Formats: sequence, C-alpha cells, structure tokens
Amino acid sequence: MTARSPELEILEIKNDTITFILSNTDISVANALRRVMIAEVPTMCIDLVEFEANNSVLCDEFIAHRLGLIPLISEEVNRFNYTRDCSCSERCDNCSVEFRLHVKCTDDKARDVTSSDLISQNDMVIPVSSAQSLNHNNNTPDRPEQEIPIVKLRKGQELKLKAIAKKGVGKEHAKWIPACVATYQFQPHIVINQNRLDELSDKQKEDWVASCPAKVYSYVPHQRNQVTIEDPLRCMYCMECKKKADTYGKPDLVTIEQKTDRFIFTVETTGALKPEDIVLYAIQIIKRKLTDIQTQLQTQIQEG
Amino acid sequence: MSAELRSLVQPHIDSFNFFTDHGVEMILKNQEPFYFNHKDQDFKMEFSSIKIDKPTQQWDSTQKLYPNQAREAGTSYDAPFSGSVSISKAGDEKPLYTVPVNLGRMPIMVRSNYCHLEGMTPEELVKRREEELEQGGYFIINGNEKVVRMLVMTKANHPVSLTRKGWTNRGPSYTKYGVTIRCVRPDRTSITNNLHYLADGQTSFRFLYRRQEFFFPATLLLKALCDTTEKEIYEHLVQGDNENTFLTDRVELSLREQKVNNINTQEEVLDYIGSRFRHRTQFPKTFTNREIAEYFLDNFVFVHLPNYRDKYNLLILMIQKMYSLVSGKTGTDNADSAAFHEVLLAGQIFTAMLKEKLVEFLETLRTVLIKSPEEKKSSGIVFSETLFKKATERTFKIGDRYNYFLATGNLRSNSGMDLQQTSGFVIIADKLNFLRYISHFRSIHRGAFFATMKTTSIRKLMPESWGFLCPVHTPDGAPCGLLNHLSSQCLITLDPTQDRSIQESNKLLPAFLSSHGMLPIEMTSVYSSKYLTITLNGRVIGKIEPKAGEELVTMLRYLRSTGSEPAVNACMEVAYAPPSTIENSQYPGIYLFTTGARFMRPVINLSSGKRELIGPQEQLYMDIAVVPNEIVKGVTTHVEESPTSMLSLLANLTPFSDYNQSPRNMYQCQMAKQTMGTPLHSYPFRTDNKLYKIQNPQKPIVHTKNQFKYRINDYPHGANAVIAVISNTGYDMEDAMIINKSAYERGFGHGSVYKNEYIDLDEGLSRAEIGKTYIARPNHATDNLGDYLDVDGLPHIGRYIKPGEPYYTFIRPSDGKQVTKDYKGKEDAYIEEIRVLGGTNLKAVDLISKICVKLRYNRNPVIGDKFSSRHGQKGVLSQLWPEVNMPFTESGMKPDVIINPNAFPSRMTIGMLVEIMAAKAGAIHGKFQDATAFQFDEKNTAIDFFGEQLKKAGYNYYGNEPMYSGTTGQEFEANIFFGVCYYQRLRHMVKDKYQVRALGKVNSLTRQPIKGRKVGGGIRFGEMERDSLLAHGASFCLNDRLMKSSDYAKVKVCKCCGSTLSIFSKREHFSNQISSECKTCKSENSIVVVALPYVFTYLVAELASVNISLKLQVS
Repeated sequence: MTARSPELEILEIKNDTITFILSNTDISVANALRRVMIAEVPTMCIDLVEFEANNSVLCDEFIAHRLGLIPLISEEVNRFNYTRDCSCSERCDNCSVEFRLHVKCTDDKARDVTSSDLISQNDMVIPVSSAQSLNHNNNTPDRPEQEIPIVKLRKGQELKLKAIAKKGVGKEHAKWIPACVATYQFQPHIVINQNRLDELSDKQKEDWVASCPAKVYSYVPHQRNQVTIEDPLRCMYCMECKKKADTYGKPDLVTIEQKTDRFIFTVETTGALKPEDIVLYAIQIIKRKLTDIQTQLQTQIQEG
Repeated sequence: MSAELRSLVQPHIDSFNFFTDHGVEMILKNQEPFYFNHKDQDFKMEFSSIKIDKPTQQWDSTQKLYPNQAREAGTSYDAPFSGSVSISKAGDEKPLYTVPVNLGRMPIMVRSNYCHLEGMTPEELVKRREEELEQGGYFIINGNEKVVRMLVMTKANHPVSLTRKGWTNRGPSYTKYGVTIRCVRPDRTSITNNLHYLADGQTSFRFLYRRQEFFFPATLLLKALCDTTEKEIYEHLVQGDNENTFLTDRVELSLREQKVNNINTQEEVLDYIGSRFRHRTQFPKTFTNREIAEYFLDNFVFVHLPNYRDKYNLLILMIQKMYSLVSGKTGTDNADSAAFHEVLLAGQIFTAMLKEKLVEFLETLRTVLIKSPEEKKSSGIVFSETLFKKATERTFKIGDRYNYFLATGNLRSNSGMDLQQTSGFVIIADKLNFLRYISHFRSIHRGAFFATMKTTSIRKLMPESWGFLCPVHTPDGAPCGLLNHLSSQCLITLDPTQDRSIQESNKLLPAFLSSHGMLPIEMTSVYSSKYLTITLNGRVIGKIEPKAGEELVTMLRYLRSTGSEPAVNACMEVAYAPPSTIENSQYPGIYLFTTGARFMRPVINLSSGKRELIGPQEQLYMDIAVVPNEIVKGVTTHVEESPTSMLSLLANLTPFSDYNQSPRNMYQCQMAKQTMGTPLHSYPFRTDNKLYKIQNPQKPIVHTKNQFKYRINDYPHGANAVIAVISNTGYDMEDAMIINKSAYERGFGHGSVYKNEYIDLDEGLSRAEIGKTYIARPNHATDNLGDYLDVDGLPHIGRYIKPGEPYYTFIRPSDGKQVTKDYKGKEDAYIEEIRVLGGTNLKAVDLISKICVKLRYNRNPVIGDKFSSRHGQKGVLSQLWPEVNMPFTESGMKPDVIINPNAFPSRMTIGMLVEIMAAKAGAIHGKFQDATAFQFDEKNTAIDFFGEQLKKAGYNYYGNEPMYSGTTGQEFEANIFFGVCYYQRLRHMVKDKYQVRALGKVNSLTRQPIKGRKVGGGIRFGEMERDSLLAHGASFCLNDRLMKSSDYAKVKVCKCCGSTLSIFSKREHFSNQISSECKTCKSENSIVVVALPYVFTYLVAELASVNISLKLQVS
C-alpha cells in the first residue's frame, strides 16, 4: 500500500462559511484539523476591563464578561504577540489593543449601550458588527448587521470603562474561538438496488422516499428513473430508509456506507476571521508544530 | 399588576381586610363589660372605641410609612393603634371617665385596605421602590416579610359525627360516640361544642369554659333553651318514627332520667344552671341565676345562633344524628377529609386575639389601678381621671402582642382561642426565587398537632380534596401530606360581612326555599322521619320531602351558576347527602353554607353551560367529568374547566408532568423552590440577608399555559441547555453531569449571591461611650489605606475585597484614635452598596455608627454545584469538559450538558424525554411549545406530534443523531439522543458547603478538634469509621486519626502509684527547669512521661470526683 496524499476540494465559500471535502486521509488528520480550528487558532478579544464608572443595573464582572464575548476583527492577529511572550513589561501596542467606552444616558428613554459604542485605538481591530456596517455599501452581509447589546442605561446612569483586547486561543477561553461551527462528516455512499425498487408499488416508492427526514431521495412519478438520489451529503445515517425497506421485506433495497476517507468539512466563523483563513491558519499551526518537532529532533541528533 | 397573580394571595388580603374593616368594630360592639369589685364597690370598665390608622413613621405620625422604608430600615410596617376606655360604677348609665389610650402599633398587611400601596398602579409601585407585580399578603416585621400560614380548621357550624376512644375516659358510662360542632360567631371567633353518647342511651353536652370542661344532660339543655314539654321534646326527636324502638327507648329514658332532679319548667332549669355556675364567675352579686345561665347559653352553647329556638332545633338535630350513628344507620364522618374543613387565616387570628387582649388589657388595668400607690394610701376610692389615665399608660401595649405574634409565630393566649396549637403560625416569606415565594401564600398546614401523630391516615390523599388541594405539591418526608398547597383554581370564600350580596341572599333564602317545597321548621313539630333536614350555616331552617329535596338541590346549583336569583349566592355551598340504605353512609340532609373561609372551586355546570363554584362537601355526591368526552348523558352534571385545575401553580409548571412517574413531579416541586432564580427586580432596594441572582436566565422553550398566565417568565429561573444523553467519559456516572467548558465560559449558569452585613459600632457599649465612636478616617493622609478605603473610612463601592483586607476605620471611644477593622468574611466579595442607618438619638446626626454593607459574591458554577431539569432529575457538575473534546453532531453542535442515560430507566421521567424532543423541534422551528399536561392521549401521542416536527426539520423522528467523539474523531456506534432541555441551577453550592481543616481550634476541655464548618472545625471520625479501620487492621492509621491528629498529649504518670492526678510541677527559680513531684509518693524519680489522648486525663479527673481511682501500670 502506497502512502496517500491528502486532497482538498472546496465546495462553497460564503462570507461566513466554507465547505470543503478533505479526502484521501485519515480520521486522525481530519479531527486534528477540526480541533485546531476550534481551540488553537488565535483571535483578539477583550480580556481586561477597567471600570471608571458603572451605575447601570448590571454589575462590573457581568459587563466585563459580555465585552469579552464580543467578536473583534482579528485579520491582523498574526501581527500581535501573546502578552506573555511580548518584550514589554505589562502590555504594549504590540500585544494589545485598547478600547474606550463612555456612555451616559440623559434622555428619559432608555439608552442601549452596544458594541458600536466601543472605540478602538486600532482601526484594524474593531467589533465585527461595526465592521459590517462600515462595509455595508460594497458588500451585503449574509445576516442583517446587528449591534451587540451590552447593557441598557436609564436616565442618569453612566458607563465608563477602558477595555484591553489581547491575543488568545480558544483553549484558554471560549471567547477566543474563531469558529462557531467546525465540523466534518463522512461522505455517505448510497446505492439503490434498482431491481428491488422496481418491485415496489408507486405508493410504496413515494412513502419510502418520504421516510427520509433529510430528504436525500426525490421521487418523480411517471418517469423512468422514478427515484433518484438528490443529495447524498444530506444523509445523516439515521437509517430510517433502511427501516422502511425492512417493513416491505426488502432489506437490500438500499445500502448506505460511509466513506471513511472522505470528510465533508463545514466551518462557520464568528466574524473574527474569514472562514478560509481559519482553515489556513489551522494548517499553518499544525505545520509549525511539526516543524518544531523536526527542528528539535535534528538539534538533539546533532548534539548527540 | 396581574390579576391572576393577585388571586393567589387574595385569601390573605381578604382576611386581613375583614379584621380591619369589620372585625375590630364587631369585637368592640360585642365586648363583655369587665366587672370588678373594689372596696365593696362594683365597677365596670369597657372600651368605648378602637382605632387603627394607616401606617406612619414612628417618630412623626404625619409622615406616611411605606413598606420599603420598613424593609430597608429593618423595622416593622405598622400603624398607630389607639382607643378609649371608660370606667363606670356598676349600674350607672353614664361612665365616670372616658380616657384615650395608646394601644401601641398594629402591623399592617401589605396591599390590604390599610396599606398605602393598595390601589397603586405598577408605575406608582415602582416609584415606591416595590416590585411592579407586588401582590402583598404579608407583614413586615423587623425588616422580614412574614406570612401567616393557612391552617386547616374544622368546617364551621356543621355537626360532625365521630368516634374517639379518648371520650370513654370522660366519665363513667361515656362511650366513644359523639357529635361535635365548631360554632363560629359572626366575628369569626369560635367555640367547639360536643355531644357525647352515654352507654345507657342518654346524651351529654360538653363545652369548655376557662379551659375547664363542663357536662350537661342534653335533655336538660333542651328544656333550658325552650319553654317546652317532655312530650314535645319526644315528638321532635322521634318525628313519628314510633316503630324505631332503638330511638324511642333511649329518648324515653333520657327524659325520664331528668325527672329525678325535679326541675321541670324552663325557669327552674335556668335557675338551676345559674346557681351551679355562679361561683365560677365574677359577676356582681346583683346578677340573678337566670342572667348567669343565659350568659352561658349565649356565650358557650351554639354561639353561631343567637336565637334560643334555633339552638334548640340544632341540638335536636345533633341528638338525632347521634342516635342514627349509634344505631348503625349512618356512619361516622371523616374528620380528616376536606369535606369537613375550612381555612384559618390571619384576619381570624387577629380578630380573636383582639377580643382576648381587650379583656386582658382591662384585667391588667384593674390590677394597676388597685395597686397604685395613690389608691393604696387612701382609705376611700380615688379613681381620679389622672390616675386612670396614668394606669392606662402603665398597662401593656396590645400592638406589642401582635408584633410578638408575627415575629415569633407563637400565640400567647389564656383561652387557647379554640386552636390546637400555640406556635408555628407564622413563616418567613423566603425570597429565594419567585416560585418559592409565591408558594408560601398557597401553602396550607394541617396543624402542628397532627405532625406528632404516628398514624398516617391524616396524611392520605382523599378524593374530597380533588381540585382543592394539590396532590403533587407536598414535601416528601416528615411533613408529607400535612403541608399541602392549594390548587391554582381553589378560592377561599369571603366573609358575609365583606359582601352585601351574601347577607342579602342569607335573608332571602329561607323564603325562597319555602316557595320551592321546603316546610319551614317553625310550622309544625312533627314531620315524617324520612324528611330531610335543611340547614343554612348550621341553623335548621326546614324539612323537605326527599324527592323534592333532590330537585331543589339541582335547581339551587343551576341558579348558583347563572346568578339570576338573588337568594342563591354564587359562593353558597349546597352540600347534599342523599338518603341511602348503604351501611355507614352519611347522615342525610341538605346543608347550605355561605360562611367565609371555605374552599370553593370552579367547574362548568352542564345544564347552564356556565362556571359554577362548588365546595368539597358537595363534590362527594356530584358527577363531574374531568374532560368533556367523559360525560355520560343523564348522569354527569358538571365538567372540569381543565384537567389541570387540580394541580397547584408549581405542579402546573412541570412540562409534560403527565408522562412522569408521580414522585418525580413531587421532587420537581421541591426543587423548583430551591432554584437559584429571579426572586425580584428591585435588588437595589432590598436588604434581605441573602439574595440569589442568576445572570443569564431564559424563558423555557417548552412551557405550560400557566407560565404565561401567572407571568412566571417575568421571574425566569433557568436556561435552555443543549443536552446529549450519553455515557461518555465516566464523569457522568451516578447523576453527575458534564458541562461544556466553553458553554460555561459563555455564561451558562452564571450567578451571584448578595448578602447584607450590619455593622453597629454602638453594640455592647456603655451609655457613656455611645456617641464617642463613629466611622471616620481622620488620618487618611498618612495611614496608607487609600487603596482600600475612601476618606470617609468606608470601602470604595465596587471594590473587590479579600479576606483580611481593611474593611472600615472608626474612632475608638476610649482614646479617640482611628482603628482599622479588617474584612472577616471567608470569601472574596464585591462591595455593592453601603447604607448609612440612623443611630441612637444621643448623638449628632452626621456621626455614622450603624451601616449596612451589601456584598456581592461571584457564584459561577464550579465542580460540585447542583443542577436539575424540571423533572426531579438533579445532578452535580462533575467536570467542565473542553469543547474540543465534547462529542459533536454532523451539524457541528456540541452539547452544553451531558447526562447519563442510566438516569432514565429507574426514574421513568418520560416527560423529560418528551421535553427534550419538543424543545429541539421548538428551537428549530422558532416557536414556544405548549407542554400543559393531559393534552395528548394514546391515539394522539406527544411522541408522534413532536416526532413529525423533528422530521420536518430534517431530524430523526425520535431526536437521535449520529455523533462523533471529540477526542478521536470517530463516529459512535449508536445514535445519541440529543436536544434541548430547560435546566435550573439549584442553590446548593460547594462554596457554601466545603469543609477542610489541617490545624485549628480545639475544645478546651478535651483538646479534641471542634466540630462545625463555620468555626473551622473538623469532620467527625466516628464509631463506624473506626470499625471500618479496625476491620481492615489498619491500626497505625487508626492511631493517627484518633490520637496523633486529635488530642495527642504527653502526660506525666507516677510509676509508683500509677496516678496522673497526684503530680505537681513547678518551675525552678534560677535554672528555669521544670521539676515534678508525686505528692502521694513524695517522689520525683518515679515520674515518667506517657503519650495519651488528652481526654483520658479528663476521664481520670471525672472518675476521681466520684471516688474512683484509676491507676496506670507503667513499666
């Protein structure tokens, strides 16, 4: 058996999702990629909050927690150092971005404090929702842009704070996870036994097609190929069609197998990074890890 | 203000309004004048007026007091309470003096008619720092919210036949048979009368006077009540049923027996009774025997009926019921069934208390008057106005008695007020979460007396209580079945004095009934014995032919539902026991009730199609279909409004509770009340000892209809969690649950606890020192505390304070120097608020000596904290599992919570499985799901209903999904049940419970470690643990636990005499060495040091004290 070389085929790229097929490789590789995308691709997130004034209804730590969960545009994340690795003593512009927020409600109506009230010191690192409204003219977002509410202020209440965003990974805290969804499934291999199918009545065929909750099959009456597999990727291996076939006494009507070397990946971003970048960065990280081992191995061999 | 929410507490408010609006007046009008004899002169004292105001500030009666002011200041919400007392010479028309008296302060129920909040709109309530949905129904005593818990009482004015073994001890020939009646006066005070059956066939009447029992032959009482003849009495009792020799023999004998005393006329009987009771009373000598006898007949015999003829008729009925019981024709009534129950509420206790305290006040007043120095010095009588006034001031304050009652729940009473318990009337309305809070107002207790009973029959669930008491919402364990909760639809009737229409219908009803076949009781004395008796509130008003009686009952119920006849009130209970030939059946009759404090509930009358209120006593004989398709033509007369109306508010909130094993629903009712939820929205204005707050609560996707009806979503108490039912890592064994670490980091289950700490510098100071100590920080420039404290000596608001950090500075009274006090708490906290409270009047206003600090503790979930679904499925958090390691579905979903499938087979909480399916479908389709119980049936199952929805959304019919392991990436063999479930966080948290100790305090007597978590004690290594180590032969381990880590001590023992007590040590002056000597052996050389448990030396000393010498043999 010869060594396989993995292949990748992009099915779809949207603003916030990417779907691709990874094939000719092993579960371990696919899962490693998935895990790294979730836990180790760095982004920027608010990590430290200094309150100067807060007489809102929410307590300090609650607001700080909410600020942390706001996704920030992190395209430039690789320019930043982790604060722990940075040469500065406490923090500097190379490892952090400062945000300011100062809202006081003077109206009789309640004032919503949202992510758009966060003023960044660095134009490249801003809340995702703010970036979407900036790009509104040239690029229609998939979702209507929406400010993320932080707290509501009523007349006389004030919120003033300084927030510091840092580089981090999802392993440390969920707020740094760039991917809302990073998952794969095995590609299904579905074969309908045409001989058995022909033995069924039209009503049975229709019922059998309807038995699939994921609508994998389609049924068009009065045509030669009445039953077709519309989209095998929709299959979720619930085996409802097989169960249905059993009730007709035809267990071999359909065979569903998993191709365990073909993985359909779906990655959806929080907006911090482009979906394709998440995959690229993840591969880079895996590569770097391997390179690190390689160099260590080499140096140790050389040192004897 | 939600009307539904208000209706839950309405009984409490109605009852208190009865007290303030009518009770006080009635008590005043019906008070017994207080007579006393002083220096051969008879005096009479009585109250001429009593007045309750609306709540005002204690220091300024012109300023209104609002509930929240009392709550925040830790005082009581009460109103000025005053009156006037007059004294007169007995016989005089005009009183000598009438003086105003201050009766103290009367606690006022929040949102009653006397409360400032009543009638306020939600906006005004919020302005007054109350909840928008404030329902009231409680008192505020010393800052705590107190509720007078509902108690079960015997139904008023209805004779109940019973057998009690204890009655045989009442005297010779007394038997176990009896008929008892709890007679309730219009002012709601009550007296219980009993009728006993004697072995020879006579009946004996019993009543209680000054805690003493008195017995009376019933026939004698009949004669006293009515100027009648023996023949008439015979006819009344026998009703022409002369063949019934059982009855005639006994009636004849009873009448003959009374002949012996040779008292025949009513006059003679009254004189006889008066003469016997005269020495028991304090009436002036001028009172005649007849007057005294009438006093007893008025005040102790059937007190609900003022008319003697009515009393006579009732006694006849009771004697008939008794003979019917003894002959075996009818059975006993079940005193434990809801049919013979009503409710005791705050207003009734308050009214009865007032009645008694007024007498007590006058008694005390007399003593103060007579014993006053002025009065003692003088030979004559000097009841001057000033002396009288002074005496009233020296008498106790009645308002204090009310405050004491509400603060402790103890009832101090001379008469016992016809109640079976003296304590436990009042509970604190705990605001742990909204459900727990509101449940306090719906809870009803059977009585403390029953808690001590060994028999379980009283705890049984009885069909009579269907629809009135919730079968699910009762605690398991000791109070099970005794502490119940009213069903959400159950009402408590208003007192007739509070509702004109009831008074009106009471007046019209007898005439109305007469025109519909009733023969009034006044008309003739003899009816057929087959005729049914009709009573109205315990008054016999007529007889009716049985057939006509049944028709009458049907008509009354029809009219009650339509409300078209003013004589038939909507809240009238039409209890009808039909004549029956079955043994042990109920004594037949038609018993009508319009009294207050009874249970009523709505059902639909099929003949009119309208809503009708029914009571528990009539329910027994009614044919009520639970659902419309159960209706049997010609049999069923009524149908339930909803099959869930038998459940309480809380039980109704459990989704799909009809799919669960019943105990699980009970557990959920308990756990809902322990949930860390949203108790209120006015956090900044509350100073409760402990308040919980959940940070990210949600509306449940799956909910019941009541969730909206009672606005429960305004006080949410959980979150919709994505849940996978899978045995995954082993961390989900034995009811443990795994929580996704990332879900936790995104805010799942986050919460805080608020605590209020009071700091009072004046506490324990002498009078001279008060005013010299106050919170201040004069040395703020030099003391280096700037990081911790503000210049006023108090910590910064919002500061994160750790144990041992400076908390506040104050001026010491002894030398006027600044002293720093450290934070003593054991847990890090945020300073949320600081309240400056008013100090004593002795010092300048600006000197702060009393403060209240509100601390906020962060209580985000940690391993060991408790969670639960809404189906009695609780579990502890065992691991925060990283998201990458969590199993995931093909769509990329990762569960927030993983629970073990083994939680289901034995507990059979199918409702939870249905909830998970329903919530999953609801989440996908973007809609809330209705989970009200009893919507589905075998033909139309919930599984299919939600399965179809799931299928439509492209999911497996049953909610199963293929999942992949997060760690290896491989697909699991089995598909996993995956969905959404509403999870509650319970208040039991590791941070409140963990106990650890290395070194610490020891008991000074035994030198063993002390117990108790609060004081840093250890956990007892007890006998069973010792046995376990012995069984393992782990003797070194045992030695370590019981001696080395406990009270290890080096003890000096004299080898010679073997004693530990005779050794005396002293320190040498120059060498500083310790020398020891045995005083018995006079030797220094014989002393050796031995390792012993210190408690042993204590034992030796104790034994020595009882002359036992213990010797140690030391080699």
